[in-house]
Amino acid sequence: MDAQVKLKEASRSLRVLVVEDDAPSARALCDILTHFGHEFTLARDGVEAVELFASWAPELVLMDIMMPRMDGYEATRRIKAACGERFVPVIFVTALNDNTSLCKAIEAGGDDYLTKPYQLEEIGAKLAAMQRIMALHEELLRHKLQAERHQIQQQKELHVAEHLFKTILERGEDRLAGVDHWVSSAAVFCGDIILVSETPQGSIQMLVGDFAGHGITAAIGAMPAAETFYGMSAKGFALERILEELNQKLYRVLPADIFCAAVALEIDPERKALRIWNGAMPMVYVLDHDTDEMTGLPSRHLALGVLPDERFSTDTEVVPLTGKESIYVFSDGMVRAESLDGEKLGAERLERFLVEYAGGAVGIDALKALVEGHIGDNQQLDDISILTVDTSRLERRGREGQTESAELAEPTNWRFSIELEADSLRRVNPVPLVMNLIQEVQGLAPFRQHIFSILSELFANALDHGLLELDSAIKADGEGFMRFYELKKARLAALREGRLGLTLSHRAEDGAGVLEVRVEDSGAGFDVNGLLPRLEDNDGYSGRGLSLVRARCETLEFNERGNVVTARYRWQPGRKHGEEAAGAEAAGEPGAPETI
Amino acid sequence: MAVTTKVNESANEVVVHISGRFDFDSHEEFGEVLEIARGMPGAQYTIDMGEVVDIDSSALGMLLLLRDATGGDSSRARISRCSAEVRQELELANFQKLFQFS
Repeated sequence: MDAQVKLKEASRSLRVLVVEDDAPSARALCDILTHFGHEFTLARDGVEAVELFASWAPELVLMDIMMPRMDGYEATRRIKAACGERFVPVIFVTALNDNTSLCKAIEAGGDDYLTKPYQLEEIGAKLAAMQRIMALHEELLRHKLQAERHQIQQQKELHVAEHLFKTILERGEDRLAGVDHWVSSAAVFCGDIILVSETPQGSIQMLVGDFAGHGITAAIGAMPAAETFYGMSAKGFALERILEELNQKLYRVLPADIFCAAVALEIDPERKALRIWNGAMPMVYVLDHDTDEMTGLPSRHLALGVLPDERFSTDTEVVPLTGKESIYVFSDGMVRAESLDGEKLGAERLERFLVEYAGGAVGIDALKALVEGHIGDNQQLDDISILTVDTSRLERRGREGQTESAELAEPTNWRFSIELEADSLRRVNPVPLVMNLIQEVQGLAPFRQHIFSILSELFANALDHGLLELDSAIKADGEGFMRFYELKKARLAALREGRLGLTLSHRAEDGAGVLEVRVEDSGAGFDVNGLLPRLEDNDGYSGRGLSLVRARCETLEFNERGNVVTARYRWQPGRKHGEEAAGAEAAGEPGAPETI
Repeated sequence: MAVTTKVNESANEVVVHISGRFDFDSHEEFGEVLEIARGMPGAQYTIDMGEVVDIDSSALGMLLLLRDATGGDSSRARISRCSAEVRQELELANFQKLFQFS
């Protein structure tokens, strides 16, 4: 379409610079130009021609050869040099008709020539032809500029995409001790991904993925995969759920020929077990440094993004860990890395290297050196990734990601209280907030469930029976149990008056910690005795709450009105949950039920 | 707190996965699980509590409701993967007599 428009314009008026020192010749040319309706300006020699070319900006030049001061050849060379990317035709006009001077004219940059005497039709035809060439040239120039703009834009986009890609993939990059990884990409965008995350529960979740193909096609799936993995892992989702979600997402998002071979691993907070899911990836190795035995965990599943939800399996294998293992995960690009003479690195060579390696645990650098040495001067054909876990260097975690040292914090003295009025009670459950606070101040990780239990039950009692005046009898049957909670929700939403105060005081006492929890509500109080059935006699849905608290606490006391309750809980640093409870029951220590 | 339920009708299996805090606030989500359970009382139920951080007595009640909805004493509901702390809490309430642990 553009070309047609340009060709129509071929008959439009041109700005023509006439360079001619001979007045009659100049007049003849100007008459002809007037006849065809073109605009013109006259230069009397080469010097004037160059000046007018710059100041008047002609679209075409008619150039005489022999002139004073500067001849037509030199003027043409200068004009052409000044043109840059523009196409301004120079047509030589001359009485000379010898080949030498015509050749010189073309050499100097001339585009055509006219010989005297001038023929009206000939000049008209040549100008029209030149206009067509000019239109084509203009079109070409436009395309060229467009192509250049596209290229710049594309580079900019590529740059942004690369940045985004790296930012998303490297989010989990605060490295965990004992976990190392390396990815070497065959193109700007890598189709291999390694994601490492620590869950709120303290588990380490890892994913090594290899998207079919490499380059940007392969990388397209990496972003949703990384987003999903990190998002779910940070919320504490189980490995199986993450795998399900990844599979579903990739199955839905990616075209059928792109999928992701993957190994998903999880190491529990205590670092005692490895759970692994291998879908279409090379063998994963666990090398026991005590026995020098190496276990291979082969692929048992199809890649992610291949099967629909209902046929996808998240079955994992579990390998017990003793803290003296190395775990190795490789992508296909490692096993199939080719040397210059086409020889692949191969699983066998890799296994031998791992087992026979003299320095014990093979570090990432040694593996890098192995594959790079093997590839040598050959071009790397596929993305290569390596993940290693040295279980001896892993840090054990308690609940909530607390380290061992935080769990064993010495008891200290502190006290805080909060009071919530009706409007805040409608919106906030203070128990998780208080739990976090205690966690920060004292680091009670091993006793977390005990304290949660105490706070949660005492708070619920004060709210349910004190302020909301709910009757536990509703909970007698199954339907009533659920109705109780519906009713609670409704009454809570309608609560307009009332206060509830929580006070926690903690004292260090002979190396032990004593936590006193006091809950006071502004309600009328309730009959506590009816709420304390014995646990072992209880086969109903409810009524366990206060009994559980009583079992945990040194003392549990209500005031007479029943709107203030105080519980004392004792803990010993260095003793875990289980030990504490067992000890308490056996020896009748503080914490046993009969002490109240 | 999140409850997800996976129903495998052909294998007559239901896996209920609970994560985070399992308490009063879970009752609405858990109500949906009970609906499913009433529709498939004979199924093999696994309650995956591997990601439960805290549990309170209303959660215990909900587990009992699930047990009843799936056949009471003949229920095949199983509790799996719970942490030592949560397990202890369940045992304090004598749940080992009512549920199979795995």
